[in-house]
Amino acid sequence: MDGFPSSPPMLSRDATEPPSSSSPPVFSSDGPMEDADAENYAQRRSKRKYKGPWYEKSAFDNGEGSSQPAAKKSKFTRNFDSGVFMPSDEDLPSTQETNHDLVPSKIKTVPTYEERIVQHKLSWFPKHNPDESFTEATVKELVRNNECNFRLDFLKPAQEDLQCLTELNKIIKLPLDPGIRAPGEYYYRSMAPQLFLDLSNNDLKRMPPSVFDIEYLTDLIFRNNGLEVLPDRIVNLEHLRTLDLSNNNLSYLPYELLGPMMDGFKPRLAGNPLMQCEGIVSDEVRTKCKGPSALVYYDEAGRPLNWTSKSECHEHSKAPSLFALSLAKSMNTYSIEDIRDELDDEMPPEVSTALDTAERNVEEYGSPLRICFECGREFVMVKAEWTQWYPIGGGTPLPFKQQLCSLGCVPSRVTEQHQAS
Amino acid sequence: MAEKQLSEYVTLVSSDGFEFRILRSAACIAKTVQKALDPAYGFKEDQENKMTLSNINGVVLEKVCEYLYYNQKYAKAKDVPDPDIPPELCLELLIAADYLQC
Repeated sequence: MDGFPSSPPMLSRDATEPPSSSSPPVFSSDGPMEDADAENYAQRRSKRKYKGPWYEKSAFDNGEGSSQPAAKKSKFTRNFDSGVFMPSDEDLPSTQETNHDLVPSKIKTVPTYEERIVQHKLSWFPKHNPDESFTEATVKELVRNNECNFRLDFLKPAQEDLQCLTELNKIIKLPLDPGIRAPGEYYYRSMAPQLFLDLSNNDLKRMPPSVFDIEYLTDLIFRNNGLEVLPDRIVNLEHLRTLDLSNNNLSYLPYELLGPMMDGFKPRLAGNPLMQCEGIVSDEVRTKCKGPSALVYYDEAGRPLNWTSKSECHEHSKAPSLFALSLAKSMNTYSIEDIRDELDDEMPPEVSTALDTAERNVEEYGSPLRICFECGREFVMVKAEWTQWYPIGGGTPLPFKQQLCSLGCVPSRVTEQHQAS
Repeated sequence: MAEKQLSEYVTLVSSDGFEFRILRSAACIAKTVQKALDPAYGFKEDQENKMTLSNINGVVLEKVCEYLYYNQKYAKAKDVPDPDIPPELCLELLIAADYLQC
């Protein structure tokens, strides 16, 4: 330790940091000076390499002389957590779990909640934070690891816990490492990930609105949840390829889904109490579609309207009502609570009902306003609805319910069919 | 009994005294106005062809009249544009629309 140069030795580094698995630093200097001659300048002169920090160089010079220190074979020890989960065979979760495919052909023995937690904890511990639920911690941890598979079944999260699913938009598909070779064409791929989200067996009566904000969601598994309404915003997920809605409580599908399903998109709908087509299914129905069910109109307060004459019920102004227009504008300008506070003492019952509907829309669709399929306007209250059955790919006709913003929005083909029946 | 000739225009009066003379056909889009002016019921409004709306002020009533003409114009149209609703008036218009049933 007597040969220290004047500059400060970096002792603190070794003292605080955990032992590193990388090889010790290598420094070099000019080779033995006896070779440095004006006559042998053409000969290769090797640099002299020193293992270890630069300030120990003098020690080598003093001790071993000019001989190069042999590179010590470093023993690979690892006594700190690398963050990589390498389970032994006993630790591995059941093979069913690891080979969990998208379409389980047979009924599997699903793990219980506790087992699932144990499995989650086997791979990593979500950092405990009293403000966060287990679901939130799980999602955040998976996002941090840039995972593409989100298995959140059996977690039984509350609706507000699933707000954090918007975090999934942060995930990117990492570019491939071509190593030392020049990257071929294959390496220039899109960074858009393919996200898999499993929310099965979670008792979710409504689909969390945050799901519809995940741009690159390709697989959504939503089995055994008691879902009653499939929001029309599902069509916003344009990268969605697999949608599993088996064993839910759906009685109809949104009309918006008809287009994608005609183009070959096939959600799994087994085990849903879908409304059956009344009457005998004729061949004509099999090939085309069943006429609409009863066309129901609603007034401003959401009560079904009873029409005295048939002609009356098919003549409506194409212009939206002032009530609907100002309601939509109010929703865009103020929050629902603000409107309630503002109109506290003079709230007409119709407005009160409309605000209740808006709150339900927030829960079911993620926004107080829905978009009318026919005219594209934003609306709160459904004013007209009917169901139509379409056979998709020659199968049993499936019910599609269309809900529109005003009486005038009902297309004439529907009113004509309705009048004829 | 001779059928009484209905006037072409009717007057809507706001709470602060503004009077708006608009087409009867447009005014009757609002069902409350339609019922008040219906000769079958014989209200005072029908005889005077004038309806006073004591809970709607002039600024809002002007917008309402604009809307009534808008509705009449586009009742049979295919592509209906959105009318301009000022955000500061939307809550008052909501209450007015609820009252007038339009």
